[in-house]
Amino acid sequence: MSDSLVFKSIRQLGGLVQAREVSPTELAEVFLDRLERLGPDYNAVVTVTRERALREARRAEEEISAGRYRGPLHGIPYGVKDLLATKDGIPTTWGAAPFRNQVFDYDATVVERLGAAGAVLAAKLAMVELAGGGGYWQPNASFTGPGITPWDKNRWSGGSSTGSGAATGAGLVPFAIGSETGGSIMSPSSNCGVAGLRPTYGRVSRYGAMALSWTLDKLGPMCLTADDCGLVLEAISGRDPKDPTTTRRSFAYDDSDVGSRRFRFGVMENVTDHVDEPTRTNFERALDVLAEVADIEEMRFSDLPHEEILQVILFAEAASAFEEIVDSGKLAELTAPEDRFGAYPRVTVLAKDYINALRLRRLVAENAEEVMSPFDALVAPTRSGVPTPVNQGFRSATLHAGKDTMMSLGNVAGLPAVSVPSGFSAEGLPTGIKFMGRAYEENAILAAARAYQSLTDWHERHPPDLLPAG
Amino acid sequence: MSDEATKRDVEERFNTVKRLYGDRLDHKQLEGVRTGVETIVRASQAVSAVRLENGDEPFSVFMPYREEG
Repeated sequence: MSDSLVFKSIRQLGGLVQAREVSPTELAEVFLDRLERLGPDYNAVVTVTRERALREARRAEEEISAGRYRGPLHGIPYGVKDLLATKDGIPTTWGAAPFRNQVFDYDATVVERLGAAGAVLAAKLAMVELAGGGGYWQPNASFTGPGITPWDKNRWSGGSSTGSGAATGAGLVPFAIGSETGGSIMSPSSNCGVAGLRPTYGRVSRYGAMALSWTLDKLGPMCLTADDCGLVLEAISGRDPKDPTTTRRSFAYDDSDVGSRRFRFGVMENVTDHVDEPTRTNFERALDVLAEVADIEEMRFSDLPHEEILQVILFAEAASAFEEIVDSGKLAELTAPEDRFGAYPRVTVLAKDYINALRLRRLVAENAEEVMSPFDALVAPTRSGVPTPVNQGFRSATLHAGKDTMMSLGNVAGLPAVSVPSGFSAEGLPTGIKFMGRAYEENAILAAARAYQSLTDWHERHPPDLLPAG
Repeated sequence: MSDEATKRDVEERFNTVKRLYGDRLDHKQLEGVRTGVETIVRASQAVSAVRLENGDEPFSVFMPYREEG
């Protein structure tokens, strides 16, 4: 029974737990064993929280035995990116050597909410140091080593939510929490062959999360299916007085059957101009599949400097958020050589440029709302290429150097997006397709992604060497 | 902004970083800092190139604080 629990969706595992066909303790033991045994192969784990997991699992078991079933996350193990505060003496390292012994005496709101839903915290997961706040250029940018995709031990997991992607894709946890400021959920979701949801800005409280950029940071789930992302988002979303940016708009996941629904999708013109051949081929095939359930039209955004707006906002806010880290000289202790100086230039961002970027942000958001309003979602390749070699830089002048407008615009405007697997290259490396929606339209993009997943089986494929024996 | 003015802007900002933190950075790192400053200057120029009207406010709203409940 234990082996068959790996690579099952939350929906499936929840059904087994509710029916008492598997106990939360049994489930916790299966995934704790995999985290401890396989986690090091992918540099995916910082801390396995065995003691806390078994305590939470036993509590879930008692509650379920007493007839108090809390819902689909009850008794389900999970991991969080190691930028979320956790109590009980569990370190919160931010992926960075200078903070490897940092401890908080409280749980982040997301961890609290998952606890309230009955989920079981099994691991703090690896991440790029300071969530990429040093400006890393290559994968070896964490004190736990470079993130590795479960699909090829010589390839990068994507970042900065490296461990959240790798642990989910390797079947070390049924789901994980990642964070995104400028691509950090989308990138590892694509590279690790999992589903990842970047919620609308303000949908999920960041209280207890390391701040990189206050007006860009978002937390979201990484799971095996889009459906699971909806289940987790419902549990973690909602107003939080401790994070004043959280919205009062509530989110209830609409998991109703998409059935014969016909969608309308937009595709940004020239969206595949700078992507590699496998990614382009798989995206075109995905469009053919989607044509069965959707009308697809080309569209364009207004000609604004989306990437530069993102950079100016991110650099200015990070300069403030990391001022103490910069001034203290702790940057010198970071793993990636480029992270040891990458934050210094940001002290030169002028206040008027930052404010102008915030003024342009309104124009970006208004334009996005206008041109996206006819569509249920925009679709695009999640990343410009398959996972790059783990020892290779990924921001070279020649490697996929095109601007990623969908990423920049989506983060500047705070729009939700979900990435799901779209196939593989000839070498067996995963690619992803993302569905980006209007603000607060997570249900629309999740329905679109579910429709795609109902027509494909990419999400049901897992790394052969990680499938349980037998 | 002319190329010359851009170079001057980069140099002035680079010297600010050097003055503040130069004692802890080696030559190679300082060259990396210069590249970083160039990125910031280019991004700032792109942002400044878009015409804004006086009434185009920043997309951030200040709300006076009052405890909830």
